Amino acid sequence: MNDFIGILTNELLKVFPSLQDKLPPLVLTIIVMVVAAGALLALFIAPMAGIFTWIERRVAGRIQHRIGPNRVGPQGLLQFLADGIKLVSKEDIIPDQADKFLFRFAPYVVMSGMFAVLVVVPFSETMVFSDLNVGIVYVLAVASLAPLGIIMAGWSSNNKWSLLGGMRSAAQIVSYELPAALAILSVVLFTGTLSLKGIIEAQYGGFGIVNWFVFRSPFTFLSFFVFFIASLAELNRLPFDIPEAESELVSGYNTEYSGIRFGIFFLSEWANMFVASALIVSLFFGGWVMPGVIYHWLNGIHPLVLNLAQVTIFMAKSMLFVLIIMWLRWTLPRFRVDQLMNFCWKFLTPLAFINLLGVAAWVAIDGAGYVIWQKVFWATKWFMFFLTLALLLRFAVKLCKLVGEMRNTYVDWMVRPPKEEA
Amino acid sequence: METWIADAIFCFFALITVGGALVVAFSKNIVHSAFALLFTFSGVLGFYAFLGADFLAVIQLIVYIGGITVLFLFAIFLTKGVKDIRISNRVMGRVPAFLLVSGMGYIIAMVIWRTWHHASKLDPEKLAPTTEHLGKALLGPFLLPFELVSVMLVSVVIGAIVLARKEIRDLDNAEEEG
Repeated sequence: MNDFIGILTNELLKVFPSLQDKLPPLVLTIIVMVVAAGALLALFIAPMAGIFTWIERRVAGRIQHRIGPNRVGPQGLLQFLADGIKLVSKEDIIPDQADKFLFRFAPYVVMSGMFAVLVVVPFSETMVFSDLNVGIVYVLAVASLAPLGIIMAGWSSNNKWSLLGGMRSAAQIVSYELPAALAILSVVLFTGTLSLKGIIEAQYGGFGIVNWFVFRSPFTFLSFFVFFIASLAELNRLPFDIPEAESELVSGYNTEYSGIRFGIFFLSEWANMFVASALIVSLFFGGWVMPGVIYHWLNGIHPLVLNLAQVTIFMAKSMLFVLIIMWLRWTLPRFRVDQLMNFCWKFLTPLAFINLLGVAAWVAIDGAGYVIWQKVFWATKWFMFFLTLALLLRFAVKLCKLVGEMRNTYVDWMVRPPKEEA
Repeated sequence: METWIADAIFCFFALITVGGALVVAFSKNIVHSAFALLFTFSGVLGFYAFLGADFLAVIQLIVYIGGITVLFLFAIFLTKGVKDIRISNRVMGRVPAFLLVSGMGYIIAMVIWRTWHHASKLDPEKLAPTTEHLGKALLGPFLLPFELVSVMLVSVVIGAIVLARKEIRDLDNAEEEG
């Protein structure tokens, strides 16, 4: 076993050799797994989700021209601890007419759906809890646990808002699973493997950036957008947050929840943002592949340093997408239910099918061995790369100009308040 | 793997499967029955994973837990009066029930009898990943059945759309008439 659990078990056996005689290896592996899962929850998911809530509130504050939480800790960084303590110490209210067992059980189903995806997320070459050879299909599969938990929460609350929110959410997630799966399939056609590690390893080369699947062909470029939009919908984030539309449904399926049970929904929602970003990064943005670095330069480096660097790169890329998701939330208005379904079935799904066919043709022609076509494809890759770079630059310039103008008007307004008309 | 651990895991999955199935059959609340299916399917998934059928296990999760259970729940929520116990748990009478149970019992007994002697030690080579072989089999020797199934599924989807559209048209007509 060369995955993370195997390495941990071996290290443990080196420190305590006597364990080998007392416990059968499988029991030992299971114990290590349980401890690792607990550590993952306590040391990684909970703080990360907490810090995400803080970032989100600060980003929202900045976008809405206010400050946001800045009292607890430096710049309000420890706000999530205060929120956590508040949630734990609040009374856990279960409505009288609720279905008590399902009401208690639902948050765990939602959470286990999120948690199970983390098993296959490859943070670095060795830091994968388990590199399943059905990796990406497994991700799609466990993601389907979430709607079940959400329906469970909605129904067991015995509340119309909750039930409507739960039904909407499940319908939305089930619909958007289709374009997401098709977008993933277009990447799998390139790699020929379902393992996430294999998918990232297929993106080595090309100065560590041009071989990323976003740039590999125009079809995967579109697939990235399809997958990104579909993951927004599966996350129930704006512009697809009709399951918890505050103006219509109070707060959707979690209306009746309070205390730590609400906290668990909250936690899995924010951690899910990271999971979705991590998947986008591993599928389309090269995972831990460092931009600008040719792989054989790294041959002599100590594996620990290499792994740490890879984890850093992976986390940085994922954080970028988390920030983009937050940015979208505070910029875009909400879809209507019918617009949402029309968009999925009449635009996104056909586009994903066309992409799939395009990628299939692309791979078939590439594999047929015509040198001229391979040169064309190589040129397309670089063209896509520079095109994206140019678009990003143009966008950045425009954004800077816009921010500058806004600041000027703001300064003007602060220095010389407009005269009141008599 | 030591045998007792394998036995313990098997018993755990069996408990989940059979316990879930008992709740499905005996619960008076049809929504509880639908949610209990989750446990039954999870137990079966465990068996698949236990036997090294990794791809099948994942597909079980997608299709049955993520698809069928959610579908059942939607059907229950959208159907009027199905929560009434007289409709959801209909009594058939003793004679048909006896016939059904004895028929099922016969089939299960035959399955147990026939597989009893074939049970053997697990071959580690059979625990290898199955995805590639499954893919090659589906697009190789079993291409025709695979295509037939996809044609059938397309016709099912078209049928569903036609049914859904017809209802809307009837509603429009009813409004015009009224």
